[in-house]
Amino acid sequence: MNTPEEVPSDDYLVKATLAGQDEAFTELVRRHKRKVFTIVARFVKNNYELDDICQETFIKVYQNLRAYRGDAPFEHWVSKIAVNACYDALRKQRRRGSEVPLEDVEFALSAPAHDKDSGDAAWEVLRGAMEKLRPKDRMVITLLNLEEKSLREISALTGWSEANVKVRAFRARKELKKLLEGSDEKRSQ
Amino acid sequence: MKNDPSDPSDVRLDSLFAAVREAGYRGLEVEHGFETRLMARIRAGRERRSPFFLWTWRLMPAFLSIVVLMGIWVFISESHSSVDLSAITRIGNEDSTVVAFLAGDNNE
Repeated sequence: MNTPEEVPSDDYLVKATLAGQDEAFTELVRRHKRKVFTIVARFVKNNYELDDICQETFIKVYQNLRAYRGDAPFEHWVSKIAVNACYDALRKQRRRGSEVPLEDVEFALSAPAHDKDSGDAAWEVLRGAMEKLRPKDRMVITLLNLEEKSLREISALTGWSEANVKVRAFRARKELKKLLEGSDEKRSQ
Repeated sequence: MKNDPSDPSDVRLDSLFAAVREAGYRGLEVEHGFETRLMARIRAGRERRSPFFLWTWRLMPAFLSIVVLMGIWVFISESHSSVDLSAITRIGNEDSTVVAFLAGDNNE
């Protein structure tokens, strides 16, 4: 039977991984994957992207494990890497141009949200609009309104100042409202 | 962030956010077997990198013996080519003594 004393700490597992024990890293992944999946799921379109970005996150964690100082909880450090991986993915997406056909986005935007009672439908509408935002704006609005993080937490995760986060959140929200209103006008024509 | 409750677009946006939050977590099926896939990718990356390090270690004795041989060669060649400055001075003094004797320039 496992007693609480027998459960190795994250710091112990980090040291064991650095000593070459792959099982220790597997245990770290098992412990923290839910947190990473929850963050990344807000930024991706499908399960393939979700799996890919989560893997990228943990590979970065593995490669930079020596840089982990242990002055903050391991979960915070991993979350920060996950947020950065999402931001990189958003920027790449932006450079490539949205893979979602414009008609699909317009269809999602034009569907009245109040007619759709499921969260999936609301997510489709919201995602359609959010894909038109700048990566930084999308990052802030996702962390603030969907993950319900505080300004301080977002600042710590992204490395941007609290004032910057606040201004971005305000602008992004304004932009989102404009996009949704624009879709309503299109529908009424 | 303060929102205006009388603004319908604010209300609509907040209801969308709330609906998405309530829908909750959607990564369960991808989580299955995630560690196995990840560790396989990490091991594959390690194996791709390893031949270089492997060859470096394998060639280490050869590098070491080259360094030792070069050290010995440098040591031997330096000991052969070293010039004894005191001998030159001695020879120089003998020459000047002979010249002085022949020239009849004897100070003693």
